[in-house]
Amino acid sequence: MHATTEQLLTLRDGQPVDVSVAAHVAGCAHCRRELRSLGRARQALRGLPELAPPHGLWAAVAAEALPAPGRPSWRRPGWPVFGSLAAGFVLGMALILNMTQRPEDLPRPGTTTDLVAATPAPASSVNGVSRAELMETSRRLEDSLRALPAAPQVTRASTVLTIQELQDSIFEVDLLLSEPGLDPARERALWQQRVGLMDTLMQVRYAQLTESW
Amino acid sequence: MAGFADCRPDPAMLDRARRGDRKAHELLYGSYGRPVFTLAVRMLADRTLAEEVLQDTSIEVIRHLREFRDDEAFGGWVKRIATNKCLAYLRSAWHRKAQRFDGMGDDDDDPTGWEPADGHDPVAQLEHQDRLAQALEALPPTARAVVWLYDVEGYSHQEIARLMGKTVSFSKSRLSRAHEQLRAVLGPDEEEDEVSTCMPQPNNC
Repeated sequence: MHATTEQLLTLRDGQPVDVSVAAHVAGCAHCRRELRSLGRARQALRGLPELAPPHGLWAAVAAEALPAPGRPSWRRPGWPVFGSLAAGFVLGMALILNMTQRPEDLPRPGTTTDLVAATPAPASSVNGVSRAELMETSRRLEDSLRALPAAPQVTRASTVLTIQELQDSIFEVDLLLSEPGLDPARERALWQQRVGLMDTLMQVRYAQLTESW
Repeated sequence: MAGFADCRPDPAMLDRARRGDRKAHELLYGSYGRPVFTLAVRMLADRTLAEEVLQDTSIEVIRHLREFRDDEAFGGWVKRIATNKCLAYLRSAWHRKAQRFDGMGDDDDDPTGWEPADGHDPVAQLEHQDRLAQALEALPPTARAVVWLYDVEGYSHQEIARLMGKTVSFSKSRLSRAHEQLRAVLGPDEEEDEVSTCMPQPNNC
């Protein structure tokens, strides 16, 4: 009985295989030939040439996903204005969620809800927090955001817009933070601002996910 | 083939792209466009769908680049996005044309898949790479996806199983089937001139 293709592929890839199979292949010209053939097939597949995408595809991508060159983005009203809108939205969400929350609705360990509950409170709400603590809170919020499931395919346009605006605002704060020679008080204020925005983003992302449940 | 392994853009370019620099995004696209398009054509055997995969992948890269911080892993990140897009198309195709596909677990062999579309013998007409590419295209979709992801893109069976929502055994069996069918179409290797009998050793044949 010759070795199966699956056994030969296991051998080809250097994975452990039954001793009797290995012994058979070592002494069987047919199986050795099959084994070599599988190795060559892999090389041949890897040797297939790369294919060039059609010209003009980038233009279509850029037109859909990037703002037109030389034009200000229509959806960038400035973060203070937007921050107020987002904060109002989140406050409304929080009120609705609190009003309807029952004990059995409390988050289960390991769920997205639990993840949100475990997210650090915005350090901006705590007096006397150091810059280092704000940076750590910001980092943890970023980790929590990354751990959230992907956005559902169907989402309210207003929620998508809110998320994009929040991301833009965080980006702008990052730009300010990257400026050289920031004085410590200003830097701390920016970190505090960043944590506040990220916390809001976390809440909106959560709301986005609950929309789809 | 260069592929995703060479898709390692300069961190400064990534930073510029994160700040919304259009030119930086275009340069990034230049670094991942070919690998993504190649992956999609090989997995889906359809250039129109592959263009859509590249477009969707690019848009996702642009929209989520700010959240992505591991610059060294950029190529792998883009590959993962593109792979997921391809698999989504395959799943969608199963819904629309279930009878043509191997159904991720069903045991049909796509009997129509091995006939050349134009009625000519591709083995006689095409060079080796063209023959291989055509043989790959003729594989059932999941077998084609698995053999490309495993043998070329370097995904493990565990990773493929997770991506497809299937078992490791499923991935292994599809890989075996793909190689058996490739071999059936391509015929024996030219280098195969050994005597095909078994050597007289214990446990042989």
